[in-house]
Amino acid sequence: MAISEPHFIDKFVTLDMQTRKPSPIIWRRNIDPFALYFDPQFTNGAFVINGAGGTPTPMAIYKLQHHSLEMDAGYGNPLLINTCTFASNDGLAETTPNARFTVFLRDMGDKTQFMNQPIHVRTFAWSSQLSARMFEPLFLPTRHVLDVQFNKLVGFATNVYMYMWGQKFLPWATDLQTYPAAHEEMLGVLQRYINRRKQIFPFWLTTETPIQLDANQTLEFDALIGNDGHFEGSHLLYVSNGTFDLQMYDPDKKQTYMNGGISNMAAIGSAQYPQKLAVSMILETGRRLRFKVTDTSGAPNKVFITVRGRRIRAELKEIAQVKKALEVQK
Amino acid sequence: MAALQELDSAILSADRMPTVFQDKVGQIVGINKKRIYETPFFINTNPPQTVVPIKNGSTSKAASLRVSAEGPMQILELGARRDDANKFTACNVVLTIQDGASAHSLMNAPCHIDAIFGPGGQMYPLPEGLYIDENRALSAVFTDLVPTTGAPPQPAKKVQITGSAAKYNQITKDPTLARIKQRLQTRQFLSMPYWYTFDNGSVTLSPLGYQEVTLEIGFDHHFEIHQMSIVSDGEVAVNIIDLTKGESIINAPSNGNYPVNSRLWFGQGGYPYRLHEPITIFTTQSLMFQLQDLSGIPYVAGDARYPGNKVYLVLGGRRITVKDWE
Repeated sequence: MAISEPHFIDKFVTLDMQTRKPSPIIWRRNIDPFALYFDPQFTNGAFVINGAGGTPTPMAIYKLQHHSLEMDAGYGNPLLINTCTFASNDGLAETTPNARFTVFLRDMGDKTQFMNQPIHVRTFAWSSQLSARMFEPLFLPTRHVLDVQFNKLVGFATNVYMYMWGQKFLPWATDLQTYPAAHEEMLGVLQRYINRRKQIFPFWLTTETPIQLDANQTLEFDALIGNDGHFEGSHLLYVSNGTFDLQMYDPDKKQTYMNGGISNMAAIGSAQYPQKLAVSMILETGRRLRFKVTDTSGAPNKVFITVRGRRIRAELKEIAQVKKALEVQK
Repeated sequence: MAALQELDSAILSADRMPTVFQDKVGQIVGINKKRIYETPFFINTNPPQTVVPIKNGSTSKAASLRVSAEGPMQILELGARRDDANKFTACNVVLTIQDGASAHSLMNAPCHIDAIFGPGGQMYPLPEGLYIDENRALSAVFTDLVPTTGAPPQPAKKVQITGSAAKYNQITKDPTLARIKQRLQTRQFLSMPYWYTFDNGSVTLSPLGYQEVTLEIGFDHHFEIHQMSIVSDGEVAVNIIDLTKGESIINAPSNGNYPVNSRLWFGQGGYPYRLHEPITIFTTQSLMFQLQDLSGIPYVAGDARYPGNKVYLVLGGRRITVKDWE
């Protein structure tokens, strides 16, 4: 149901075409904003990331509570995550703007990983004032679990608070039971999300090996798309010790994305201010994206580059083929 | 049927092609193969060097953002490296479109770089995309605004700018892409991004002083104001009056407090203040700017110790060719 259809007034109200009176869209009123935090069995306060070089940090888990009441048709109360916020403070030097750890996100049950390698947290999440919005929302069905592996890069242990924000669907809500048609609509929406998430989900692409440059040095690093679908990149983000220039290209297709190095200060962002690409880039499965990085700070430079986007498990098709497939479904 | 109609509509009407096709039960039917030929591109000046040198206190040579084999593209955002410690200091910019043998300026006077370029992650969004191809290039000239005094030799300043663009490849082989190129190319004859600023580029205010500056829109185009940005040495209050109507573009009671602090309704290159609805100023009509200094910065003409409050104010929008209205 597109909001652009003529009888829609807004997201929550439609015009009843028979009575010509405003009518609530019941199922939309049973979606709550929700912030998912670490599972309480791991922490009921800050999660502690162990210091660099020390004992590896245990995995953290995000898990939805499951409310059934036998009225949810097995859908529970899934969460559509679209932003991630974090705060970091070890009481000394490492506040959120200075956080120095990486994040690796997976859904072990689905055997899905949401990044090819751990990425710097400041290319993944930011504060609630400017929360890092995902290009593709992550639909977390009930009884699914998100695993997060943190790794401190430098310095002592750090306390972190990290929330996954989104829309929580309540298919068991009592007013949906009063309006069966609305209940069916919500279940239809949930089923579409469940079908969609098998083929498309958020993904963060980074280099396979860490980028460490000497003063004024130029090196090349690859990011492998892998065989789990195509990658559509929408935003370019970085964290670094100093200034650098970047060139990106596909070494196999000889496809370049700039006619010379772009300065990190002029054209790349962070999770706080992500740099949106003018159009998203499609990188086919099995390909690689090469980053040619040149230090311009004149000092040793550690650089983290992330391309934010989504993974798509579908074939590349011509419009005619798509039309044929949709006609068959009709 | 609705899905097919939506698909057809999206293909015919959009400059951008849809990426993913989804059926009514949420399954992804396919990825649009043509999207492989539409890619992001960052276009720089003077490749492969990409840094433009400016002699201290002087004006640079023209630097081009030019495509050759890369294919036509539409520039949507502008970014600049601003890094005083490494000599990427403030400068005025003049942008010109070189179209074959002719050149068209994209501004009535030089604009401050911080008013029309933003940093990475906050690049300045062009109100209208700027189309360039193998026959059409964007050219930039920079003038140093912060001359270094003292004994020579003076260090050269530097500028590094980037345009974020959508590029089209393989256009000769694909009719859909060729159609997009033609649409973009034709549009540029009718509507282009444009900037208006003070005729002298800036205005210097004496402490708590007041000035009025008039600006006339060109004879061959209308101007649609989309966003506004300001760079100033100190706080300044601004009012803009549409002289045709004789009233301020700020919709306030007639006894309202004019001018209004620029912090309330002007942004910078990183986040220009974007109007909810653009304001159209027709050809040869005028705007008057009322500027009130709030900073109290001392000013003595010609004395660098008392520079006053220098104000660079830029209206960003698009120029619409007059013929379009006939």
